[in-house]
Amino acid sequence: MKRNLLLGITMIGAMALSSCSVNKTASNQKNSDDVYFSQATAGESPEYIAPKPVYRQDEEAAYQEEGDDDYYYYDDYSSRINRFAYYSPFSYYDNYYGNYNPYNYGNYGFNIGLGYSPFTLPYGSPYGFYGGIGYGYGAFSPYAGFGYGGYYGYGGFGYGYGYSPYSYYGTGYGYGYGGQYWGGISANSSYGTPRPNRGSGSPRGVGVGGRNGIGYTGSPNNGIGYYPNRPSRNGSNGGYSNTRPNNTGGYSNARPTRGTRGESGQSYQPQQRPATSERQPDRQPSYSPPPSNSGGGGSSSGSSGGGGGGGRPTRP
Amino acid sequence: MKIKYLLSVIAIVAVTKNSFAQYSQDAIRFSGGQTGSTARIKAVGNAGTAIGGDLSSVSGNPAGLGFFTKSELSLTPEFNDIKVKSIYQSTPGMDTKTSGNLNHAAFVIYQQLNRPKGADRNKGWLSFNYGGGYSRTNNFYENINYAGSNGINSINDYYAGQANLYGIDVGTLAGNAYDHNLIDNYGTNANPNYKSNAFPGVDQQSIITRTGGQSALDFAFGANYSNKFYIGLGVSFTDVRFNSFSNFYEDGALSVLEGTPTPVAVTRDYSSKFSQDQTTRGSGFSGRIGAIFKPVEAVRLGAVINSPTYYTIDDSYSESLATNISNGQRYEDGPQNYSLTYNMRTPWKFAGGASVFIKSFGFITGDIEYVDYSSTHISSDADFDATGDNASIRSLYQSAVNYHVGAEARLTSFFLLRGGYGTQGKARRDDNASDIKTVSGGVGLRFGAYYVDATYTHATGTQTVYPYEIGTASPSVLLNRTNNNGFLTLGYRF
Repeated sequence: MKRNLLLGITMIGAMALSSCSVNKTASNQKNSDDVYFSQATAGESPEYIAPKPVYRQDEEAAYQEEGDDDYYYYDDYSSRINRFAYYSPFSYYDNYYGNYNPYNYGNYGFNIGLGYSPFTLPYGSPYGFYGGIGYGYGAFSPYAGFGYGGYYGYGGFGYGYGYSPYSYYGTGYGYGYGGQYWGGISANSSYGTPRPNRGSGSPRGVGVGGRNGIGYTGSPNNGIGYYPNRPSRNGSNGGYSNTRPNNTGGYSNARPTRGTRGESGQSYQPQQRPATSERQPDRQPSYSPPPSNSGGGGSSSGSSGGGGGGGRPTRP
Repeated sequence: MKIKYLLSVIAIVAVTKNSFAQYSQDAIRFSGGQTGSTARIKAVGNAGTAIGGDLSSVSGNPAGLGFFTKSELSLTPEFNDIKVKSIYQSTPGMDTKTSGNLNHAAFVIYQQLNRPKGADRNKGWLSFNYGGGYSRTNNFYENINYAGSNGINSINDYYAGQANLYGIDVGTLAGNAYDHNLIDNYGTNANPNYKSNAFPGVDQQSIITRTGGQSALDFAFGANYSNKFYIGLGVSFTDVRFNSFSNFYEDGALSVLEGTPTPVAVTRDYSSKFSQDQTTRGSGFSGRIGAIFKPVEAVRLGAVINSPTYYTIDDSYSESLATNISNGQRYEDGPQNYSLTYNMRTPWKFAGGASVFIKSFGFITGDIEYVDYSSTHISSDADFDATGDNASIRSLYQSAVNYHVGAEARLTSFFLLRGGYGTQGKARRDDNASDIKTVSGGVGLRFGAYYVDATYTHATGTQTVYPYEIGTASPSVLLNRTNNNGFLTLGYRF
């Protein structure tokens, strides 16, 4: 109860504080959050004071203005620029050509270049996309131009070269990020050896109860190499090769293998662990003597049956 | 005879090609992830499609950039605490991992458009804003640790299955298992039938360490038409980093053939370790287009279409097998390396949302995303046949819908309170994964040109995985993931 009160006081206090002096600055700038207060207004295009005939008629005025040749020159220039760019919705012009204006964002163009490299590089597939991002300076180009990408891709950097169709000098350059040579690609010493299948994450299929659902090919007994205690088959059966192609070339099987259990009369798969086996479950197993007899007929709960016959016969 | 041999070779080749279907899970993994956003939008359930005016627009709905009336930049570091609880063979386990990263960083440049003198400055195209940013969209960090006693089968059953399918050639996993006495031929030379040498009742443990994530470098612009309609375009250069190191241990008793000239079966204890290491790097490219419309001042409707991301992926995978047997034998094989460069594309992603603003006292927002994971595609090339992967993507994965809702209360002009909820629909068609549910909350502070947003998110989801796959008998592990993340955005308007 006491703690609740304290919490309440703290909360109310925080609210009270927040509504007064502390955030004076914040409340003064109430439109500081564009999520709530986004009321954009367009700017006003600056007027271009081109020489008008009226001025010419006024001799005195004309004379005064003639005294400033530079002014005319630049003014003329900017009016010429007008011809090809005045109607741009994205443009911003200064009245004077060459005037330095630190807030003149209009002089910068934003270019995005995307290139496709046809070159073959060592250790690589010859195809790659290279993205180039340019933030280019264009004297008169305020346009964001989507440009072509350059074709140069070396060592993981695409050289994006943006070209804006609307810009006058507005070519942007960008160093691209992307392409497949980015990163530790060269760690791959060899290419094109897919790794073996270690499962799809869905061994029981999509259907209910692991029956033949979608994605699980074959009957449940025939999954990814699962042969539950199937007795060894004798005799031939068509199609699938039962004989490993020993020494027939193509397969490297030229190493000694152990005798088969099927032929040495030991073809029972281990079915049940001897009850007396003392096993250390650590990862450095110590030797434990094999039990003399596993006992007959005992069945542990985990044994999956099949093959029958209880425990393995005693081996000398 | 010759034809029969030829046929069997064809059969083996066909099976082998089919078996190389291992990249589908990665392709789906790389198709997931969240839309990059600032702490503010994360706090409202990441429902930012119909908000605008937040730097999340750089990586989310680019139309939202049109709302800006000033330039702005922000930085969002993150802290992640990932906990994975496991249940394997009724035995619970748990492992944790913490990581920190840069989650989001973005800027926007406000560019006012001009109108001739005398024209209405509140109508028509009013501004053209562009921005760039970095966002981290997926986090692969996790440690997984599970262990249990398996009385039914052994990973040796998997090796035996591989041997029966593909033989025991030197260098293959089945060949290694045979060399290590984990499996034997219980048939005859003429009719081999490989089976596990293990006695039922083995102790198993899996330890997995994963790092990496997905990130995007975004460039976008948004334009404002009469403060009513906003449109934007964006491109992303995406990056994938995924590292997974896993060891599967199994301890038990083996029946080992010993002695010459007539070998006899002796029972020995054994311990085996199957290691799988994967290092994946990739980069890709995608684009998106978005719009926001305000039918009335209080309501915003937004939509984004995200193109597929076209990835080039470099995958390095290696596996090795080591076995100790209590007769003193120690075996170690590998690592066997497999490196492949492949191309893939992620699904299209469509998002739509709506938000309602109660003057400047707050807003409620919600959005819906649609992703059809089954349209993820891996390209085949000369080195690699992706047919099997694509077939399993189509059959095992589905379309998913992600929901996000949230609200912000602007209690005072400098203090904001937020909460949200989201679900990420499961990509899998089977029941091996659940939706991922995220609860979020946060606060925001405004100090003139500066602001701070802090957000906490709590995401949970379950997944069933299989350490090895032997059909319906495959042992399953239930993983229960909990991610506790903290995000802090520091921003500045200029």
